[in-house]
Amino acid sequence: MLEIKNVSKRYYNTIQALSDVSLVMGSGEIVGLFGENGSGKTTLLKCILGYIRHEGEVLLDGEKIGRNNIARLSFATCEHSFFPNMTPKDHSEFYRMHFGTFRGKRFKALMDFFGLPEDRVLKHYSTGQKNQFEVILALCQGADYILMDEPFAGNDMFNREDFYKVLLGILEPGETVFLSTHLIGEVEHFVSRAVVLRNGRLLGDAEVLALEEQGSSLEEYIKGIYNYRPDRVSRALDKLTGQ
Amino acid sequence: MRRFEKFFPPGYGYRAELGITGVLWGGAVAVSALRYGVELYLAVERLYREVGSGDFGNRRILREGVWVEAFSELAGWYWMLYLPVLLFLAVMPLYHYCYYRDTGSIYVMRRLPGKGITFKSCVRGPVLGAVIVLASAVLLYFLYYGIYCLGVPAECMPRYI
Repeated sequence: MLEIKNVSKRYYNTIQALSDVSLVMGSGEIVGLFGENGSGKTTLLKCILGYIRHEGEVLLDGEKIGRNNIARLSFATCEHSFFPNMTPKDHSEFYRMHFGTFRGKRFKALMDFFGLPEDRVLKHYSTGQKNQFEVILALCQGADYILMDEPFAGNDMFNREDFYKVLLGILEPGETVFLSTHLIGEVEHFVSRAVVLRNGRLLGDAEVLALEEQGSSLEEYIKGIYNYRPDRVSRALDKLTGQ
Repeated sequence: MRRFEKFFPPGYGYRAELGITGVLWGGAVAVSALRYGVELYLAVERLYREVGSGDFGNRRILREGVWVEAFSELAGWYWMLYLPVLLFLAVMPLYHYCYYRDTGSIYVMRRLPGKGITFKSCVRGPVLGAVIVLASAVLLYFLYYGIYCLGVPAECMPRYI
């Protein structure tokens, strides 16, 4: 179980990126993290991983995240976290050496499925291929909690579709995915739970199944939290054009 | 060249760094050898004066009451020649860390369960380089001292080294 307790983060003593965020994620959940740009999604993921200092605490099965359990978390980011001058083959050797739980078979299978060349250095991959490889590494590290920060930015929709299907197919019951994305409509049938941030605060946490039973879609739920007004664009245009 | 990989961060282009280190180190060795060689030659030459001329050629004899400069004076600012390469190596760990930051691979390095892996990978190469450079500087210093002892007549040795 991953417990996030009262996590707050302030940048440069002025920007309150996160305010008192508390959340619990159980084993095997696929949780979507949603929110507008600047709502604190990336900051939350980095706080969980211990990449940035924060107030509050993050516990993994009751223990603070440290050297003993950090390998139970993996991370895929749209910024990419691989070594650009190394090949996928080099990466698999590196991961195998440092992460005792590296899943070599899954790595090979995913590389073959997406047709990614193993002997080409990653800086020569296309953006979409880099994104795919980034997610493959996160999935194959052997982590229990797989955190993904907008991993599909730049991938075409067929690519993304394939990935969701593959993910659902290969994830084991004990693997938890925490996915930050703007592609609400696409992941609605993929995630089991939705967490919504706004201005650094956690304003929404709902089971997707429960939303469906209420006759609401994930998009409507998020729009409701954001008080999204459908006519805001036309009102803004009217103001601009002076009508 | 691949055997040097393990001394640097994964995927890091270490060839340029090795090249610069080699040039700075080679420069220090070459300048020290040239300068010390010239200084010693001139110092020893000053010990002799020419006598005689003509059909039997010139002879040289030691001047009386003249001593050669102390070795530490001849070596002069020997150690300063190695300062550029040592400063370069001192800065490189920071550059290696910046490589991790710039490529995003710091996100992986900070998740590695092993102790101090990131730190070790940043400093291993420069520390080894600094040890080699300093060891060579010390060995050369003693080599030059040996040449000094062999090249200077015993009667012209100063009272202090």
